[in-house]
Amino acid sequence: MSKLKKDAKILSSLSVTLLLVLLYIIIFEFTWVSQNYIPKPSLLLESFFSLWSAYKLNASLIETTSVIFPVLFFSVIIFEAIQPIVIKILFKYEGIFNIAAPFKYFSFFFAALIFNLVFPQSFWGKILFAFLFTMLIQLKILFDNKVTIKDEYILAIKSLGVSENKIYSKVIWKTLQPHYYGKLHYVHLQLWIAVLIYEFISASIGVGAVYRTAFEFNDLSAVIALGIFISLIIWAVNSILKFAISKFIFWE
Amino acid sequence: MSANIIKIGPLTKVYSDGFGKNINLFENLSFDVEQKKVTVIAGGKGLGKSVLLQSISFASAVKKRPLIPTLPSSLPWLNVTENIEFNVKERNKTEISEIINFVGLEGYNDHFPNNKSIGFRFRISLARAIVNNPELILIDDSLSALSTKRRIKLFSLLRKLASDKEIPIIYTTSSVSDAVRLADKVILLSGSPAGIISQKNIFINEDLRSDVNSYFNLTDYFSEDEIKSFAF
Repeated sequence: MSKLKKDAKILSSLSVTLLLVLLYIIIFEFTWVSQNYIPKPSLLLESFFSLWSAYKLNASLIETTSVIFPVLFFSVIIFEAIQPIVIKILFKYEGIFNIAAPFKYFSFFFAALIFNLVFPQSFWGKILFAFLFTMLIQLKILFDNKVTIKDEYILAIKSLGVSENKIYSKVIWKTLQPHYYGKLHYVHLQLWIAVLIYEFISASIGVGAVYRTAFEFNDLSAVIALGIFISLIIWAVNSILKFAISKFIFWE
Repeated sequence: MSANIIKIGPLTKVYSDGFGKNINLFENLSFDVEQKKVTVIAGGKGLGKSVLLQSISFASAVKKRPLIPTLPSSLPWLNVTENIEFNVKERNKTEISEIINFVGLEGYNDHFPNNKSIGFRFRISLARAIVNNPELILIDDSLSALSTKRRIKLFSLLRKLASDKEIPIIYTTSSVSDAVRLADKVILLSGSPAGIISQKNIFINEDLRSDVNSYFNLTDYFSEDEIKSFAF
């Protein structure tokens, strides 16, 4: 996509968002004041501040982000380090993935339940869950993009007498790299969802637990305010990720 | 066996059709390749010419027989020099830049192959093959997508490579006129399993080969039945 088209897309999504916010303020703050279903903008703002005072969001946010960001960072580092082995398993022993077939419809929600039961209220249990979840998503991304690997690259390089391991790391991994890093923002989003669900179930500490408390108090405006706040964090981090990847990783 | 001859084969390739039946693509196929010469394996599509080249390439564990596949195989994340030096441990810079000049890529050392023409990417693959000190170079109809003018230009380069660098070339094609224009020897494949139906030495003046407007009377080299066995 050309830079001009990209800029136009950003501008149009930004203007649509601003327009929706403006409509929301006009309708629910000034026009349709009598309704009680959707919280007023002023109430949302109030709830946003109460998240920090009444719900103690600071500690919860530190807890959740200290799981999400280190797990994301280290899973990428570990993946880069072990990629020759991962790629080899992915290509040479493809059958190993058949073992995972029965778990295809096993939602990660059940995994979160089981982890919560096995490691009750454990920070390291949460870390382990998040890490395994991230690694599985990353493996799936590589597996789904296997079709992008061009036979002619492998054939030509193999005919030069290049070792199998070098082909895995210098040809196949390089081909998969743009797809892997291109989907990192998706991994980040999925990781947030998984950790929030995990914390919602455990109801101990973390943003997910704040959601649960707000839910138990029937505090719809706090749920929405927190939702908007978390969405903004995810959007900001994803924007940074996309920028960094486009600058430093993509050979394209 | 003469030092000027490389003996290929006998090569056999059997594959399963997926229903428990084995199909012979080719059986005990063998032929000779002469040094300094371009050998063209010609025949209709679907005969197994590409598989034959792969079998030739991987048949020798000691000597390198680089294969240039039909589709561009230069790695798009590496520039021209990095592509050429991909599998090279010790080779001096002068030698590499001499090879870059030979294939016509001088001045493009730091260019990346993505978004470049097929011809450009072919030249990179060719240079990468030369740098690896090959016993012979195998080319799988990589130039068929080019215009006649560009293809003939690269044919001249291949003929120059075989004679000047003394690296024999095996090229596959399903075009009879390309085969005649490029080859010192044409090996004609046909049938199932594929077998050699004829081998012809081609003697044509180099100027005539590189002239876009030159016309070759194919019946001078092949019988009507042999010409029919090609897929035009």
